[in-house]
Amino acid sequence: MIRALRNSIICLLAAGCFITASSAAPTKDAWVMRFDGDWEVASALPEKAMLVSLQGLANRDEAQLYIIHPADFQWEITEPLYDFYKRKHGIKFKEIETAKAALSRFKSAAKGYVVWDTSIGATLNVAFTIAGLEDAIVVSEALIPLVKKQGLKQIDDLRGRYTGQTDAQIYGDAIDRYWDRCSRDRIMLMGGHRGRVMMPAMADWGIRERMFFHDLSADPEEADELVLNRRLLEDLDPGSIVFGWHPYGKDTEEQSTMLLSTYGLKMEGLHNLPNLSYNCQFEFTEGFKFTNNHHVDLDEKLVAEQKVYMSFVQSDSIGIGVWTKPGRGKLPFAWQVTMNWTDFSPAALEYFHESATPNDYFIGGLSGPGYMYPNNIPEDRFPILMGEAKKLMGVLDEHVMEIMDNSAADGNVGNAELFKETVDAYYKAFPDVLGFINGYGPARTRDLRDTRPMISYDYYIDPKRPREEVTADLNELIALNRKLPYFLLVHVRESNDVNSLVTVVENLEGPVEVVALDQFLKLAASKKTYKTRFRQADDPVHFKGY
Amino acid sequence: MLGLLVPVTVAVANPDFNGRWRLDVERSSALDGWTAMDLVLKVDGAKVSIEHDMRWRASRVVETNVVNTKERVEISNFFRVDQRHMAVYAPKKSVTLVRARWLDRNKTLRVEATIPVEVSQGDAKIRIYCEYRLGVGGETLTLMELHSTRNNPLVYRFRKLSSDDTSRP
Repeated sequence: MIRALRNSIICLLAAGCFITASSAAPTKDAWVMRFDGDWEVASALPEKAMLVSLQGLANRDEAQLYIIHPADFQWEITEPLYDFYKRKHGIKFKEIETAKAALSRFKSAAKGYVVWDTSIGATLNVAFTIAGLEDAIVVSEALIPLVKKQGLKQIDDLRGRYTGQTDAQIYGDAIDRYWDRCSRDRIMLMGGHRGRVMMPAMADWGIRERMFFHDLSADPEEADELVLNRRLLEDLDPGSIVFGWHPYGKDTEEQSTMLLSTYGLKMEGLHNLPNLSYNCQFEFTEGFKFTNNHHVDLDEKLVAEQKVYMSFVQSDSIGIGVWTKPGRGKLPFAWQVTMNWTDFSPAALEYFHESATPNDYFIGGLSGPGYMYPNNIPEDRFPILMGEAKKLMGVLDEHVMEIMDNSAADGNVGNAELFKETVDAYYKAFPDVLGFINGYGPARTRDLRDTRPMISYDYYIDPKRPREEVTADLNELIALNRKLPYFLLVHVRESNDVNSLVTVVENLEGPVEVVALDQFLKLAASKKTYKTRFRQADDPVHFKGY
Repeated sequence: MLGLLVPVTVAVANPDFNGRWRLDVERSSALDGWTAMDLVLKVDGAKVSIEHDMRWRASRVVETNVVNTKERVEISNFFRVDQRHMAVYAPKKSVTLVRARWLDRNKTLRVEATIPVEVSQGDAKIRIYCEYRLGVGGETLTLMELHSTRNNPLVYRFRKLSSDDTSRP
């Protein structure tokens, strides 16, 4: 009787398990931490650096640790993407609330710790390099007791090693010690904020991928640093990626991007882009395929009327901008996609795609399969790079390439033009696109070949500019470009909001129509009222180059 | 027989215009593509030199227009305070005909110019009308600028710097 009862119970339990297993969705456990906005070296930065290094190690083989940043962090999508992982990938997150708990959970991913010198910023980058090579957690002196309590041993100590040395001397030593062991198809330009505040939120990725970390200058006035920077770039494999961002106050974005472009390399920013070590381990969800919101077919013909046609574009990686701000969808907007996120952050791309409104249109850029300045790409590298870009645009169903070359510009003003040879190269490399757009600030490179126009921005909206003045500026452009149709391409800086642009458009004078970018380019191809122009040798330049 | 003597008013330069004037950013139309601006005015008989000392991030631009209140002059590469996020460019070489006059008992300098520019459709012109108005007491200057192509006037307000102030934009 008892045996029969026991057998019945076993059968019932087995039946219950079977029923449960066949109806359960696949889940995976992971952990999440929430960061605040304090990145000051004197307060919360050391703990964040430690946790980010731990994240890189914990995520080496499995996506385990994800970090959510505050809503006002530059990358606004960490919370929406967290929700996406739960919803679409079935991830069950448990929250870790303290650094101690995080260490306790993930210390087995580390073989020890390395100490950096908080009075010498460059030692943080050297420590990150060591962390990737030696599986070490990066700590400041104040955090040593915490990691020791977890049973971790010291692997290296940078206190005192570099006292009184310049960054060139520090990185020169680090190159001698570590460069041979670092990845050769990627490198971490961990620049951005320097001094009192540092924001190395991308360090997890560099550590996971065993990259060499540095913030060497690309400014020709900093010859000692430039020579080391060049040495590293020369050693990288063709087509490698420079992750991170240029160091604020040491050089300029223009110098840094121009330099790496001369080696045919790609930039993927920013220095504070978080969670790549987590994001890279996901693919698109099963059955997902990118389909863009096309408003015209590739071979369709449109005819422009006597109007002012306007189109809005936002570059600057959609993760940091207007995407999450109110009003998106009220106006046709083109969004330049960071195409390499198909490798490093596919879930983010799928999230943008899923949350797109019919008025959101995705385009390729910037300039190629990564951020680069095409006037400076070596001739033999250009077709290979653009071949990569074409493949990515095919995956992402994109028909427009956005180009930007600020090598001669002064921030977002000045000379952002393309030489004729560069324009020729794009037309040859992309026979099947609808067209090209160019610039960041305004520019005057324009052309039309067969049905593919190349149109530069006629206007850049500074987010701080009063909307009344933006309206007056646009009306002035309309008054100056009197021949209709007039094609007015507008670049929207990422911290604008769409609602304010709706008001601007309402106050424009004349027969203005805001259209999607693909329609805009088709219309511009039908009636060329713009002048063909390329960069000229005697155009004013801000940075004269190398 | 004595002829009737008709009093004739002769415009005489106002030396209170001389000096360096610093833009009050908060009280002025927003600059675009510039972060600071000084004007240095020098009145020398009929000639008035208007030096623009401009700053944008690490870049400093200093450009001067010399106008004449007695006759029209042609100025090569006339400098205007442009809104630099608009695709409106100064041609590489240009000549602008400029008229200037004293008004309001020499408390206002009027400057008119039709400036050639380059836009996406080719060449265009902006007719500019400016009044530089000296404030009561001579310590403030207001520049009002009208464009033929812009329905919002631009208004820049300046304070005079003391002669020993060596700060620059």
